[in-house]
Amino acid sequence: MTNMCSSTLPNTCGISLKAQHYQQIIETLPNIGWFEVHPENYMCEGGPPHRYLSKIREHYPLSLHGVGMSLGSELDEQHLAALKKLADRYQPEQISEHIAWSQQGGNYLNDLLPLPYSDESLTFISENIDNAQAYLQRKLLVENPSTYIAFSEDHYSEPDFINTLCKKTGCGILLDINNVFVSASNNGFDPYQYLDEISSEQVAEIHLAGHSLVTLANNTSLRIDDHGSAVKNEVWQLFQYFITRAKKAFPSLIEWDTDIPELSVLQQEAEKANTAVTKALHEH
Amino acid sequence: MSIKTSEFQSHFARFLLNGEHSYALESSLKAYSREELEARLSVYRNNVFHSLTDVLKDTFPAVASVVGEAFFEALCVAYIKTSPPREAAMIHYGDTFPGFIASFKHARELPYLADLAKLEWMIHSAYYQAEATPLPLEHFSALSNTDLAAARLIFHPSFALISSPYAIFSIHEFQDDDQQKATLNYNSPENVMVIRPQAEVNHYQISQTLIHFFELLLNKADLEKAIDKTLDFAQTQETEFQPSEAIAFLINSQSVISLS
Repeated sequence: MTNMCSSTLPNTCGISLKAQHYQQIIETLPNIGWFEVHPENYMCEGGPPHRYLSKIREHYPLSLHGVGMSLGSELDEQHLAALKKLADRYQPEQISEHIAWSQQGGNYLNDLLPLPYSDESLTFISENIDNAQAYLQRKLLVENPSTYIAFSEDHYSEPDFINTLCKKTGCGILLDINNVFVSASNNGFDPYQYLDEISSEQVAEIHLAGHSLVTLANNTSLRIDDHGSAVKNEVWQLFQYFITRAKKAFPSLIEWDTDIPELSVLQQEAEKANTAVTKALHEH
Repeated sequence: MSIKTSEFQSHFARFLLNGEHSYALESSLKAYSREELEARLSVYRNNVFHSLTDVLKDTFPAVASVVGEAFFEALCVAYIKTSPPREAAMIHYGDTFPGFIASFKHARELPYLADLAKLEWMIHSAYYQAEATPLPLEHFSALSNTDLAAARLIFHPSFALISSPYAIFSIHEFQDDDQQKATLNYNSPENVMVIRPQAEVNHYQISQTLIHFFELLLNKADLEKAIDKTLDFAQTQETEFQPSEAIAFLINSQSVISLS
């Protein structure tokens, strides 16, 4: 797999780039490790999104984190072409997508929908990853989704499924630790065991985010991955556990997509992540 | 799982959009109590409808503000079911929303709503349009009168016009001002010109004569012909038309990018 971009993201914490903060970032060039954007928001000819991103790109490493490729159903060539155009223009250090689907019958449902972890799914998602990597001429990272429902039969545990995908396609892992916790809590598995099973040498990025908790009518609790608050304590603990176990730092990201706070709040969360990494590595 | 993943996906998509349950969908999933199954599935269904409603609200804030939250949500749910997004980039979602509003029977008492939505889609599209460098004033003043008369104007890609029998510019302007909205005559015709020369989308209310002139120019009439026709038009409307002012407005608003 050829990677056109020779540089990599720094092993520090970055934040999601939001339109609300464009101006402030350009004016103050804050001390933030790197930025991540959803490429779908830049799939347009021109306008402020490109003006600002071009300026910000001059000063910071960049990751394109897709939400619309629908690796778990069918790839859309037009979408891949739009992504390639952005990758050529901005030369991001990294490109990632989700192990999920959002497109069915040509309709895009704007959500990351669950995939059964079966041999059949493994075969076609591998083909999609192979095709996307060949088209983009670079390695993709794939992210574990947050799920709210389990299937009647899964041939693989999620970490096993993802590790196998890496072996088959040469892709890497974007480990979303909040999603691990949310899915573990919603579907009754042990998040620590998950982190023991996931192949840490394939992990090239970590996501951290907030989630909310709802109680269903039968008193079951569901955790909803809404990226609308600070990272929860349980997720910080899992993050430290993973860093200690992997014995290294990773490019990590604070995601915050709804009820977006001041830039300084995101910076504080990123600092907290950097401190947690230092602490975890010293513990060892 | 007894069915193929693609079949499961088509059953799941049908559930998400239309709330249709099927044996095939349910038997693919873990055996939950009825109540819990519904609750878990509805997380996905809510995500789809809430996120798409938010997309539409971002693009059509004046429509949302005029009709109020409950009506807007019902309008969006009906639209999303009929016309779900056909591409992954949500910034392109909503192009058929104005047409849907025009045919939405519950919006019949709000006849201006579809044109207001058209205006908002124009503003939204202008925001994402290709960049181009506006032609500076000096370029025009350097031309001889003969050259200027024969010139055809090439407009900025974000330049757009809309003419409505309703007060769409004012409704858009006063979307958050209940006092102004209350005294507004919704049935007063208004024309709007939209342009994004730099980072901000500008929109101007323009007269019937001006929009007539700009439409002729957009349709590639040369300047002399467009001026002649607009002068005739102004006469039939019993209004004034000042060609030099109209051209100055186009230059100052940075609407023209070249001459041919």
